[in-house]
Amino acid sequence: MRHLTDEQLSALADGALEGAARAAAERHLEACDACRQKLAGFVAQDGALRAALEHDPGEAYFETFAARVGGRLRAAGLGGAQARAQTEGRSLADWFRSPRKLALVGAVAAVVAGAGIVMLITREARMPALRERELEARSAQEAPAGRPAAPAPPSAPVPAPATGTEDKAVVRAPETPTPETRETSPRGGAERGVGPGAPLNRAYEVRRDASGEDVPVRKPGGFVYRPPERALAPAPPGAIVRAPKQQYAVPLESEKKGGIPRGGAQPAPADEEAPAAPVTDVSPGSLRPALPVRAGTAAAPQAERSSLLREGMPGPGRICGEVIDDVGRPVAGAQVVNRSSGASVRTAADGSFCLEAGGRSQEIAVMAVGFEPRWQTVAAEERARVVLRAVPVLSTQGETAARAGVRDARIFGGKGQPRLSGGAPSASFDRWDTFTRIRGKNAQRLSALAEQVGTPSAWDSAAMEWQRVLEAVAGGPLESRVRYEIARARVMGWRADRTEIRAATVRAALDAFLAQAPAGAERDAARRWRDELKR
Amino acid sequence: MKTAPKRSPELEAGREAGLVQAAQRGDSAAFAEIVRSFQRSIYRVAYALTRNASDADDIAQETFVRAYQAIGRFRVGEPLYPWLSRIAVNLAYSLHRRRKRRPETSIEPLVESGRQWAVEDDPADRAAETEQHERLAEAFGHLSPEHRAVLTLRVVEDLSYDEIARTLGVPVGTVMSRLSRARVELRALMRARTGEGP
Repeated sequence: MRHLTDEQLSALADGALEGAARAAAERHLEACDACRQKLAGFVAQDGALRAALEHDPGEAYFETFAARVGGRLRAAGLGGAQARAQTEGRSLADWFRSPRKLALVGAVAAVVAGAGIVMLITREARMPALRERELEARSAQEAPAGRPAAPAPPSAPVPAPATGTEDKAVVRAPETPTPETRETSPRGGAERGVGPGAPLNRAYEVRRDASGEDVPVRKPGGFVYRPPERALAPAPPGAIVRAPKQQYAVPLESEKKGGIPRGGAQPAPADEEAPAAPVTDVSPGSLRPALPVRAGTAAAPQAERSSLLREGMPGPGRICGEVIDDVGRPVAGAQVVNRSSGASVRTAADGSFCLEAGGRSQEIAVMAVGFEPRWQTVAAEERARVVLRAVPVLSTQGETAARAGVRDARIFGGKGQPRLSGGAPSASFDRWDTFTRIRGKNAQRLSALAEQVGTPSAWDSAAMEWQRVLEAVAGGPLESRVRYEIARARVMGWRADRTEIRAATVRAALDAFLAQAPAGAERDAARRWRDELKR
Repeated sequence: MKTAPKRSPELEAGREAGLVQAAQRGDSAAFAEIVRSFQRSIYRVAYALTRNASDADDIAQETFVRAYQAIGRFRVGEPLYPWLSRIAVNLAYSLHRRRKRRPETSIEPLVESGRQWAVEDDPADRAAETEQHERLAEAFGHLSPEHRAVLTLRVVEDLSYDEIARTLGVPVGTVMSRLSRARVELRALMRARTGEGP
């Protein structure tokens, strides 16, 4: 008697044999005990495997899943990618995902930069005066030669994102003062590699202010930080001139002393380029925090553009408030984004802003060059007060800052910040790829969120995200910090839900952190937590 | 040569096509609905392939990010789920390759949040069952990525052979033979672990 093959039995177990084959197999099974046992073994194994591989992360996980996907899309700046793919066949992000393509782009950029250096050297010998003029013109124009995937002219008005080509402009316009943008910027400067001239060695043009500090000024398409008096200077030929009403500058010391009005005054409603009116385009691409909002952006039908993050937050309203620095001075030109509605606006000269609210309370993100980004939940009817801190690169302060909800921002605050490196191991940032930084920011966001929500599952999500960050930074100088974050999230989760299994996780996380933590506030905190756990 | 999927369809075919078209026009609300409709299935696949909540979360999210990027190239009318699960499977393959190249060090064990909230019935039974499941899951982890994928789609996701073939981009005959080899290999691995004879 010929037994059934494994393949036949396997197909039988799946109910995938039909007709004559099935009838023959069943006839054989009736007579063959060995084959019946084998079949039963397959079926039992499948059942056990199904149970073994089953995992339910909980309802809370799936409730926020779509929102997290939305966040990731925005973090990667992928809005509108689907339409772009239709028109182009390939998406821009593909180039950054593929190491081979990235290497190709890098090689081309290196060749271009090399050729540029050779040309400049040879021309310098012959025509020094001409070179001077050229440098001047270049510093005015700031052609983004270092970026392989140079975007559509970013100074073009951001259009309604209904079509692919328009979306392209929305998505790629690198107006965002995010770490990613900053990261690419120095490369641009380096690849131009044109000698010691300060303007060209920078990712962006800088000028020295009264206190001797370098402050970046606007470059076309780059993020902006523009001292007001610069607007008075005649624009160099070819430079892209921003409309005078758009304030992008943090006021200089001299001006601040001059008494810029601030405080209870109503936010300047006259800022046409940063309207307080709701911005209806909230596709993930357009939600990138610092896209300047211009008149005419609101052309897309609102119903079509409701974002992944908008769900569960209905109702109109307005959020108003002011953005100040940690010594109480107004921060003008800070980008304020309502993460729920996608509305975005820049603060006026007195630091005030008003923008659309997506519901009763929501999270806003506030960003300004030279400051740590800040996330804050505000109520619609309440006047928000957002305090920004100047950027240090890395700090080892402990929980005090954590309570302020800003501490994590400095870890992933990005490089290319023009000041305040403070002797911390900022070099470690260079080892990080863009995706790790995005992930790091995501982890911070989840920690901040968990801080507000306080549920064990929120802390679990944060811990898991930090765990992924750890994979990227393990062995580096930031490993200890990330392990601390994991431990903190685990501790908080345990405090919210004191189960034995959580206690075990906390113990493991604390041990892992304490095994290599340097002395300091974080180590002390971890010790306290361990004692708390023992009690 | 087909099995009827026991899994209930996440979306009706017409509704699914409508959502895809809307998402292709840039309607992010439609895309969000797609995400919500398939998040559980995709997470299940991702978890089964990685057996790690953190990686599963990452892969599940990334699956939808990739889908969003590529939805313009998706042919309306085709079923969405095999396409999505193919992305998830490919991401799991890539993760597997990366891990093989660069094995992780010092990652503390993750507590799976689902287990924390699971109802404790008889602790002794549960311990024995858990142990068996852990052994099985561990043995499953030793299968090749292809075998893991085919078993996951069949056993966890209850896909038909046709659907699995579409998802993995292989002929139905290959699905059939891979499944059988995967089951036999898994059984052998389990026997080696429990000390039973062949």
